[in-house]
Amino acid sequence: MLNVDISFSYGDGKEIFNHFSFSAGRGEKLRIIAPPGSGKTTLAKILTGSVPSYSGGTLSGNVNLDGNPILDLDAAHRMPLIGRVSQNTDEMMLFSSVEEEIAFPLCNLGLDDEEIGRRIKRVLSMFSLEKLEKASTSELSGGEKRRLMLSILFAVDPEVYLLDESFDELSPEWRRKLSCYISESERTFIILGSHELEEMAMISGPVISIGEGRAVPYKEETLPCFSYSKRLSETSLTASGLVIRRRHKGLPDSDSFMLSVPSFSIKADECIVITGDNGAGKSSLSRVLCGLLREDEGRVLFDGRNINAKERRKAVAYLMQNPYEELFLPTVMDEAKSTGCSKVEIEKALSLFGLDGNWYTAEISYGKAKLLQALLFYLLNRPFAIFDEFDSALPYSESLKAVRLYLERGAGVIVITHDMNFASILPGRHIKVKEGVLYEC
Amino acid sequence: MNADSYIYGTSFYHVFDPRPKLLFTLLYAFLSFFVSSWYGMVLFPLVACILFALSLGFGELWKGVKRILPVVILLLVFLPLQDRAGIALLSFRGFVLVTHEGWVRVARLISRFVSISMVLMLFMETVRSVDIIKTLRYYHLPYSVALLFSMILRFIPYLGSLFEDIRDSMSLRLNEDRNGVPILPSITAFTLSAVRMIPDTAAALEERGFGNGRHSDYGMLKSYKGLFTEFMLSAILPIIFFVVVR
Repeated sequence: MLNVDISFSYGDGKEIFNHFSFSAGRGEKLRIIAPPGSGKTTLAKILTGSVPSYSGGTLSGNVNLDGNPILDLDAAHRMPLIGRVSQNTDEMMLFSSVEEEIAFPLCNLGLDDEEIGRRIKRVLSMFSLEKLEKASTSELSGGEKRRLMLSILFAVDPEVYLLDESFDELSPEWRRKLSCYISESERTFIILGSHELEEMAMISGPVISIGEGRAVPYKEETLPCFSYSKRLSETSLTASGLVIRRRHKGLPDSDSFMLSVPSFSIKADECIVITGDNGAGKSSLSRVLCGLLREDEGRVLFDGRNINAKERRKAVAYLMQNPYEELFLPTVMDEAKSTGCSKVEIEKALSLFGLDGNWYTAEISYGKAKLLQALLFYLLNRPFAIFDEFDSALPYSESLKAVRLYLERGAGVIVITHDMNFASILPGRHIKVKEGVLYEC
Repeated sequence: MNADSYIYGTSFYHVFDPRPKLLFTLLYAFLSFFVSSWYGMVLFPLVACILFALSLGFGELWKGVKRILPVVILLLVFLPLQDRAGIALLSFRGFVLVTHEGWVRVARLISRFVSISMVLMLFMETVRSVDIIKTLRYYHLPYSVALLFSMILRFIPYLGSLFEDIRDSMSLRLNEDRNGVPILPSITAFTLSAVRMIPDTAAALEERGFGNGRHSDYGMLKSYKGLFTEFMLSAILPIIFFVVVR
């Protein structure tokens, strides 16, 4: 039985929790669905021991597991009791290979060689990572990194699993599989998310939310309707005969990946949804379209004219999966000013996206960082924009608002998502990546 | 910025056990310091390059050569000017540019530099980082030092890719001139991001149980029939080569 009753404020006095309390019985699956910035990640870090140790702040209250207080234990000693999958997978990667990454915590459990090998084999098979066992962690796709983080937690097998937005970046098939693994497990799970996914609803158990630092009943989010005022535009982005190859340097050529795009076209003010499995090449295609990656074959045209990589970068905005990769200035206002827009435009955009110019970028939540990323490219007003899994870590209403704002400005928007509910709300064509080929549904 | 550089392959050098391979690498690098003949100065780096090409192909050899080429050019251009006392080989209006002694010194330095760089690169590109750590543990490197080394092998390439990511994202947002986006903001952003990683990494280490006082090793390299022969070959071959060409 896990009993939590905590109050916590960061060093700047900002209160995150005020007697936030909940209980989860042994084997219970508790979902905490709350908007970005409500403290989900802070809660996960408090329970595993890295907050306040590495962030500062004042923590009071109790966390008891089967009657034993765990707040007195340091993070290293909590590992067999409570473990988490971080929302930002990059911050948890420590080693060069998938195998090392999984083996490290098992070595710290003092397990023998045979048991470590057995557990590694089991989780690699569970998350279909066998072929990537020797691969470099830096070469994994977003979904593969997520599966690796999950496999580490399942290999350690603590008493309580904390999954912080862990369904994000997983394909629908993997989301269903993860739901099954959770349902079948006898361990306690606390699943943190910013919106209730269809696959999460398959897991039976209580659902709560966070409101003003306290546990509150969860109110189901109704899927909003999507409408926008269309601006007719003839500007187009076209790709034909594209071939993109990517090779894992440390693996045989047979394990390399290839994406073929026979033809693809989008007009400004049009919305296109792209879905496909993890590692299928959706992000690689995005990088080619926005000029960050060179295609192996084929060409990209803007208004029927061949454009080079530099021109693509100014024609296509790319909102990367990990928003922190695109934020590099101290405050939200500094970031906004770097776009060169006027103060009036910046103020208007800040209010549209619900952001405060005084916030420090390093301190905002993952979801807010995504909104800031959207705000910046909105101000830059590129004719086309790619939202790469933008809906993860955000409520539907927030993701849809951002897409609508871009469309109403006359931009062509490509939305990459794994969430079929989200995809079904969006207007326009649906395109799928399957077995290395991009085709219209 | 490319320490995590293992390249998959099935060459004889790939399948060579990393423990004797490390011995061979270090011995070859060490012996290159004592080569004094012109033959030796040419053959030592040349053999390292041939070994590289046979193991990884000419494409990878060229990539390796390109990495060290700027240093070689700098040595060639500037070092002779430091050593202008001796028999003049090249002079301009009475000003001695290159002497025989200076030329010999440069040739020796370049020979050593290329030999050492190529055998070390070859080692890094034919042994997985996890096996490098296991090899170091076999040679009784303390666990904490091996862990540090392992993390360096992850973070050097990670920092390299982080810098590239920052350049990429800046190029999407900022105006570019002929050389791309300005370098100074990239360096500032990179430094801030790297500093921010410190508490995250420390937290990740602790959350994975580091420092809880329990530790076991996994998949340590085992002895097998033929390992001794490989060790002997690793020691004897470079010594014979050195004796012949020195």
